[in-house]
Amino acid sequence: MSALLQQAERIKLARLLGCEASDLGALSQCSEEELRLARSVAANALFGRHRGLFSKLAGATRLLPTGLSAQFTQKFIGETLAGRVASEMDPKQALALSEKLPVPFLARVCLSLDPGRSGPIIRAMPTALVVDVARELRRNREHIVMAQFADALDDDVVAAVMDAIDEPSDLLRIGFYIESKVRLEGIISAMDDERLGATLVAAQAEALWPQALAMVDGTSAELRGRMADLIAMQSDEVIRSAFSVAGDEGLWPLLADAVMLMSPESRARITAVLEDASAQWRDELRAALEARGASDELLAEVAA
Amino acid sequence: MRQETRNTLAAASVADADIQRLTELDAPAADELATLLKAAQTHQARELKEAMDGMLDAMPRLLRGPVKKLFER
Repeated sequence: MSALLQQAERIKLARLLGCEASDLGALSQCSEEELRLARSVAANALFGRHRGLFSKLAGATRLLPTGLSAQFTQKFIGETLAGRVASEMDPKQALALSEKLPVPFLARVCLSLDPGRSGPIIRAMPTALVVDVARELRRNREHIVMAQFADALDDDVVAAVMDAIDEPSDLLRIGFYIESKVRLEGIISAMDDERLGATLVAAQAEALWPQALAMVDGTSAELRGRMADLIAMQSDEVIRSAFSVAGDEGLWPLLADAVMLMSPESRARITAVLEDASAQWRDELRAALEARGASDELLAEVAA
Repeated sequence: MRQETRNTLAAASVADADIQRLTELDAPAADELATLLKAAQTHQARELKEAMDGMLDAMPRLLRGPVKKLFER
């Protein structure tokens, strides 16, 4: 797993702990798995501490008719507490209540849901409501929460949400934080070449190459190969920007992986773009290919 | 993991089983997590208290008593 996935984990842990990723100190050196462990333990402690209290509040709201409970929630409880209370509700109760609450309020409630306990509640929501809430979360640039949703929801609901997101850059920003590689593989595989190609253009236009490369890192060779061929189909400018970012951010191993998996035609296209580019890029790519055990034939192709 | 870190984690409501899991981290990382978790909990407690106070303030007087009692029980 790459440094990019570590970076995604650092950002998620920092967000949970209410600090910046740069404030993580010694935790910054941890592996992706260690960071995930730290996040899981921190979430248990943070969300478990007042659970009894929120459970009581959830019990109290159950005594009210749903409409009144929704009014009570909006007027008195507020979104921060509502998220914690909702995490203690049974899915049926949470569903009935959510149908009476406005979407912007629900989107804010999502920010304080207990990620460890809210899966059944999120899965109980009807697709149309999930899509509406996801649109609102997207507007609020809550990509980490959306990724948590994507990890918790069923395939068909995730597909509906992804269809509703028309900005390719948002797909990159969400995909960067999705934990389940199986889920990510499903989402990306369902995208046609045009849509996937648009995310690569967005990667160049909005400086999101790290997110684009991290998104496919750890997925199947077939999917990475498809993505690699799509990179080769982009304009010279887009391809050069990928190499430029690889140079700036040490992403050569990921680009080398792409070059090894792409078709010979795509490799020829990349080589042609590299011919007009910096010699340093060619050397760096060659070194990364060698490190990954590329064949002499392939190395000769790139060096040609 | 240092004993002091264990104590800080226990005080921050980290369950024994979770403290045990954290032995996979090296000592400085576990230390850092304990410090940041403590700070996050202080912040969270303040935020929740504000939200609870806001909730009670916004409620009609008639409801405040029973809700307060519910939490005290």
